[in-house]
Amino acid sequence: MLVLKNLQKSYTDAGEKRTILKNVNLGINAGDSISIQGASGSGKSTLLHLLAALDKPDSGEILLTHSNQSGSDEEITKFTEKQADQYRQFQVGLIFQKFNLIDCITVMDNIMLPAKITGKVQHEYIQELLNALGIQDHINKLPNQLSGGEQQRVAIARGLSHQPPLLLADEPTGNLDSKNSDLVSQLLVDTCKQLNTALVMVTHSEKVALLTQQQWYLDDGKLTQI
Amino acid sequence: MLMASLIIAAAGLSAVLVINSSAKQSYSSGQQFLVPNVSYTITSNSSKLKLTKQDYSALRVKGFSELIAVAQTKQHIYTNKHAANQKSESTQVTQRRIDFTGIDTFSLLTSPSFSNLVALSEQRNTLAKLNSPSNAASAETNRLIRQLSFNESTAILHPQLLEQLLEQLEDAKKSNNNLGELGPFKNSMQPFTTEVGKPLSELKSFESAALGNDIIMDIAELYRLYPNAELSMLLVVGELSKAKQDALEQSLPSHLQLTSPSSGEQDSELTSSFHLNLMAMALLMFVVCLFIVVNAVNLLINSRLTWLKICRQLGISRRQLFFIQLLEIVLLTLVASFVGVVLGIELAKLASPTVQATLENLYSVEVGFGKVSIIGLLIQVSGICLVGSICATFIPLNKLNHQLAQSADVPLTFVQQRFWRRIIWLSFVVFSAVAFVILNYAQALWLLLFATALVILSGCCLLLANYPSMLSFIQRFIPARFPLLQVSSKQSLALSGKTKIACCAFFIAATSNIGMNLMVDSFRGATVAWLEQRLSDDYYVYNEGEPNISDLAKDTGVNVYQRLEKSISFQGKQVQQYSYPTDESKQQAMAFYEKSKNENLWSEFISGKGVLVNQQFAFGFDYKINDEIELPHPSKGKLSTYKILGIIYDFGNPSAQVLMPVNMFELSKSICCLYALQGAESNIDLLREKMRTAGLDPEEELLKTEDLLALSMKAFDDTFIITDGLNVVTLLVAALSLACAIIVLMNDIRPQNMLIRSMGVSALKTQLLALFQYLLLCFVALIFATPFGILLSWILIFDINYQAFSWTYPLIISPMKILQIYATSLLVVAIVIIIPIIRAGRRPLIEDIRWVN
Repeated sequence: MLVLKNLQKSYTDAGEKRTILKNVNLGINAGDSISIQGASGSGKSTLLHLLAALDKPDSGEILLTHSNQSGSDEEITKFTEKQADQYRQFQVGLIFQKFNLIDCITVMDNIMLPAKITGKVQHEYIQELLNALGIQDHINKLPNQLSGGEQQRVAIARGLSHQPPLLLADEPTGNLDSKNSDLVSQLLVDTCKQLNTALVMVTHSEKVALLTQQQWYLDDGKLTQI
Repeated sequence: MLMASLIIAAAGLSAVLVINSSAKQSYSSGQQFLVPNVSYTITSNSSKLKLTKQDYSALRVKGFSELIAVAQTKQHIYTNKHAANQKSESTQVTQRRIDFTGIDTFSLLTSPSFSNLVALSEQRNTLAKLNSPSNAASAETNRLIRQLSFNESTAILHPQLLEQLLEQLEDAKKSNNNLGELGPFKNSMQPFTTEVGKPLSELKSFESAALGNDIIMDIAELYRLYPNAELSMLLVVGELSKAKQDALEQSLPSHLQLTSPSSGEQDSELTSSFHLNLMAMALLMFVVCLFIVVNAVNLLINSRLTWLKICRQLGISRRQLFFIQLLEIVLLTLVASFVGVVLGIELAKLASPTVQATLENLYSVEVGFGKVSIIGLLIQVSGICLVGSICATFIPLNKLNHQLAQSADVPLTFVQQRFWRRIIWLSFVVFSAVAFVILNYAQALWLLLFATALVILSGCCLLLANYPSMLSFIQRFIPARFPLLQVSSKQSLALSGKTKIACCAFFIAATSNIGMNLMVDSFRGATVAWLEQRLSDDYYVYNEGEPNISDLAKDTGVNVYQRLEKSISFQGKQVQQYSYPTDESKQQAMAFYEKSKNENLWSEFISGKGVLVNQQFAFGFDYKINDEIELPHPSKGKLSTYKILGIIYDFGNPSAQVLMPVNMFELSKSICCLYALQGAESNIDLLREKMRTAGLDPEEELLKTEDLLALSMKAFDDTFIITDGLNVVTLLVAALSLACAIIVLMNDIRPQNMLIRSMGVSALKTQLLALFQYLLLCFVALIFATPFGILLSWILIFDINYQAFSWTYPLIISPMKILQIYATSLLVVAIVIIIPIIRAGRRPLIEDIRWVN
């Protein structure tokens, strides 16, 4: 569903140009689960941002391929702002390290928000999601009444509530203790598998990375499969 | 932002202090025209017989050498332009007529009391005595008077008046290219002329409140420029012995009267409410500016928090950090006060023509320019600003102290929240109760204004206590198909807790806006209705002098109703006795506030058994319908008892007035100042001709009813320009305060905005949602401000106006006006807050994501 071809990205840091991604190539198919590891500042999050059309590469292509015959391939890097918004609305779910739940609305409202924005509210699907993630008893609570692990599970549910074909997770267990980290990462991978959603997860943890089908490592701007 | 708000606060405050102090100086030195030691004035008490040169010379011949003649005329100032045919034409420079005053300086210099003053003024130790506010006789003044006498072609005026004249000349130049050739003004070659092109005297500026709005010159010079100028009064210079005073009184012809010169107390008393209101508005703006200071200090602290935490880790105590921050604020306040005072003085200069016009329209009081002590003003303003800014800084600094003491912000517990909610409700009850008691039992104007402030504060408490429930209530009406709007409205609730101070500032501004606007609107409606009813004739002539219009109108077919006026003393205060015609149409035209239920009201009035009084009389002396009062007969002078048959509206009149039937008056013993005319247009044309022949200017003096109504309403609108201006400024400052709060909160709501944008919601939509959130907060504040605004206008009309002006009028609550205020307020807020919102929205999403994570 996504094909990355010769992606190149550099930053100017203190007047010095630093190439963070060098000729990165990757193919992501529906239902794939991929983890990307690497040292701090190696460009893992940058790669994720490129996949979410939040940033643009210096060169290279990210092709969004459609499974049905009617749709032609789309070049994400050439998206206008409006197209990028549409892409994120319908094709992508995002999970952040810091959960980023909206404090003033309930768990259920947080989860339903992307589905409501896209107009794809399917109550049965949401119920399945809640059951899968084990948060069905917390739906009427406010986020600050939940533990860190529970909050991240809500964030996962929110990332998947509008049934995106691709879920991008940026260090989803970075703020959790090891017990919760194991639980949440397992739930994340299992739920994506169950829903046939492609998962690209950036992580520092080898243990978490091993849960995914493919493990990739980013070092000196080069992405290599382990 | 901190500096800007402090400068605005200091500038507003100093401008009002300068305006008020100038007016005070001007009142106390009124009718002095630079002449020191005036003990009495002699004026005419009849409109038929004026003070003449013959009266003056006769009195001086009788040995009254203390008398100094003053002649006055109101004239426009012109400048010459050169037309194409090389002939010069006069172009009007001034927008309103300037008072030209001529003093018989020769007589003044030769009067014994003036010589004494000069001798005294040369003694340094006694100079201070001469500089008393009521007597501007300094050595410099004496020198100027000598100069006026010896160099007759010199005139003196206040530097600010000269500045205004030069500005008006510049405007005239711009609108008329032919004036472009005029060079810059120099004393010796000033460009001003009379209407007929005579060059004005050499203008010398001198800063003294005693100059008022006048251009003062020698009397001979005044007659050279304006041969038709009339003697307005005689000044008695120096102390008069009792015997001499009696002799003078006996020597006066019957149409002249000896009176004490106005000490300015009456003027000062009349306008005190205006000055108090001006001060109240300035203080309101000052308080709203302090709200900005609170937010600005919050912003400052937020940006320094990391650095301050490092300081704490390095062992610097919280007390030290607190005082360093406070010291910084104190220094900034001192600098801002200085800049504010300088700006305030300039602002006062700019506003002084409007203020002067307002006071003239509202109270018929002429205000001149004063002398400003910059050091005194600086001490006063910086003192007030320091107290204000320290108070305003204390809240955020205290919060910082708290933040530096603990690692994370701990939200209030349920018990703490309940405690604060109870405190807010208690404050509401206490403020309302105190305000209620004061408004019902107090009469002092300052106490009523204090009660008004308490009412507004109680409104703030009510708003704070009910913000959450009101927002929740509004949320119910947002349809489920707008999920983002629902989320935004819920975020507004969270934001309301963090923008309490800014929301209160906005509430105060909105309440005062609604209150003032409804009051002005009601006053406008009442004035229009009153004028339309009272102005039942076709034309009106305002002319105090000769010839009498009734005489001129004979044989023209025009019916003339003349209004005769007599000034009497009632319970130690001056009251106007006014004639009122009694025919059917005039009875219908009378606008009653309250009238006797007696069906024979008009027959009792016509027979002289009863009188009509204006509200100023009834409220000022505490009389009601059917009460009896003892008044002198307008022509016979005999005291009789009259029943009050009705209380009438008489807006704009600062004096208490009693209306009596016209047949009780005699023209020779009263002043005639107004004529109402009824007649066909052709007959009026005949009268016009006759007026022209008699040397009157019908174009200026004969006013058609519609024109008079328009003129009156223009004067009305001009009067409220300052109120309108201050209203907009207060609203703008409140909106700025809200914008400051938003800048502070932008970091707080950044993660949530980032999250919504990461879900594919466009930047524009996110910006609109942010705008919606703040406008919703303002809308709720407006909803609460509406009843309080109505209450405020009720207090202004029925309490403040009652005490300050002794008149009231019906309160008109116009829903359209309120909606208009809603729209204006929300528009002002939207304009002000749109900038930080757009700035936040323009930031690339990726920056927010990196910042949040």
